[in-house]
Amino acid sequence: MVKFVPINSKEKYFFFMNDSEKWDLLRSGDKTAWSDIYTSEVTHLILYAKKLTPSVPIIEDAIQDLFVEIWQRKSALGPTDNIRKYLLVALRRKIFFLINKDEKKMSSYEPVENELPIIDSPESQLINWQTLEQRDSDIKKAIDNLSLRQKEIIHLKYSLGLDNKTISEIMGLSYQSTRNLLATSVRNLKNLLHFLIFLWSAWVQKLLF
Amino acid sequence: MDREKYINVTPESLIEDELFLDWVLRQQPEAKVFWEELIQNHPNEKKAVLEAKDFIHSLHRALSEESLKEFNTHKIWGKINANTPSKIRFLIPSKWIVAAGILLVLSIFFLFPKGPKIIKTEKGEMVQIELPDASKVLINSASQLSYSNRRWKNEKTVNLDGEAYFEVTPGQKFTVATPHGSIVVLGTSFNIQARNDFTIVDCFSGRVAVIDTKGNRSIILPGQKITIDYAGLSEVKYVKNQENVLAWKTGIVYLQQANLKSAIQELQWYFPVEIQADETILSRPLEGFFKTSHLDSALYQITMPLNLEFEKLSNGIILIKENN
Repeated sequence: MVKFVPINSKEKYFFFMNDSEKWDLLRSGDKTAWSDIYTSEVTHLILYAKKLTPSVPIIEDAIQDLFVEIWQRKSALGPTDNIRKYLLVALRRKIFFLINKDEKKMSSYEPVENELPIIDSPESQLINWQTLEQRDSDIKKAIDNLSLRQKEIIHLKYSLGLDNKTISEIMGLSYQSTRNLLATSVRNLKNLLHFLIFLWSAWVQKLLF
Repeated sequence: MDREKYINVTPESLIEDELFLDWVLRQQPEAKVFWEELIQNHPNEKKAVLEAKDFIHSLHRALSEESLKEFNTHKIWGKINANTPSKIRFLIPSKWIVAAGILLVLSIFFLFPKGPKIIKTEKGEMVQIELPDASKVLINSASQLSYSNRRWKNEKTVNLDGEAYFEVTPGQKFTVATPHGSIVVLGTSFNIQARNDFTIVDCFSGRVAVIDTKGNRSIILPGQKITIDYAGLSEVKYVKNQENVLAWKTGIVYLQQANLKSAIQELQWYFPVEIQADETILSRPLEGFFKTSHLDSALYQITMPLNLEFEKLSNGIILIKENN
């Protein structure tokens, strides 16, 4: 086995660093750290941003502004041990700022709860689908029908796997409101799924009889 | 951890349970052990647990596997970069600048000789500078260029370790010194790659004189290159596709007449990583290129053509091995 030792063996490469080390490297002016953070986080940022606004130009502008600002203000940045959370909070702020500029008010982000009919499921179990594809497409449809806030919290919880405390810090809510919003969102999602299943089975019945 | 809490559990309560999400979403090993033991000891709960697990996985897929094709992340990155131009950095920490300022004032009084000007790039960084005679230099990753401001009028000499592309203002006699020899030019553009064991000079316009440490001298013309090492000068060679030599300016390094060993050595000029590979695969010839923006893609670009793969070991070392 031949070893190729780095030219300066004291350096430790980014991939094996924890968040604080990566962030400190960026703060010290390391461009590679900055571009590596972009590469590893950009997909997560876009997926999250899509839950906040459907506008592609706003998402692109927000991400662009965010990374330009981070680089320009790198020496003034504080430390963090959770880079993703830091970026999500900053991106959220940027997107709402841009939406505001576009619409002069935040009307598209009014918390509208329960805008769809809720059919309470009779049994307590989750739904058993015929096929996996059917389930995935139903869940996609149900998510699309959630309000923006519900979509956002479901995304933070079940796509990024964040805990309630981190979510409350990102969304700027109290811990209790976060739990409530999450519970409402999950219930709504489930009810929407039952509603979809109901429509689907009604359609099957129509077909059969 | 409290197992009793999960007796007669419903899928609904599970999908909001943090410990459950530790296993299903965050893949924490301790949580995995806990839940697998729970299913084993309480088979009645298995149905609810699996149902909730499936549901969360579907939810995760639905949220994460959205199409992102309307986004071009490379283009966004290009715009970000365009808005943050590279500047010459001062390598002295700010608190020393005050001290340096005082020293500078003192040096005027005591005729303290001015030290050389040093420009050093980090790995993955590129810096463009202008010399006192308006000649332009683009300095590549992990390189160092230095010159003396004080003596610039009498001898226009810069020292180079690493790689740089020079566009020298016409009419100026100009010398670049590397560990293996020196390059003397009179208004021309050329690329110098000074590595540990050798220096390669590529001429793009004008004429370049190359002198080794023993005083032997050769002249190269546009389209030609020469290698200097501790043994002396090589023959002058014509280079096919010489523009590829300068592709590093756009973040691409071409490997010509290379093998895996020389490719790894070149890659280490851009990324501070420790790489291991079996001796038997090192001599495999490799033609191609790698991009200097991301380690993963660069590793892929040097291993894929040779049907090799790489693995990041937990101790921070990257292992290159046969693709099984």
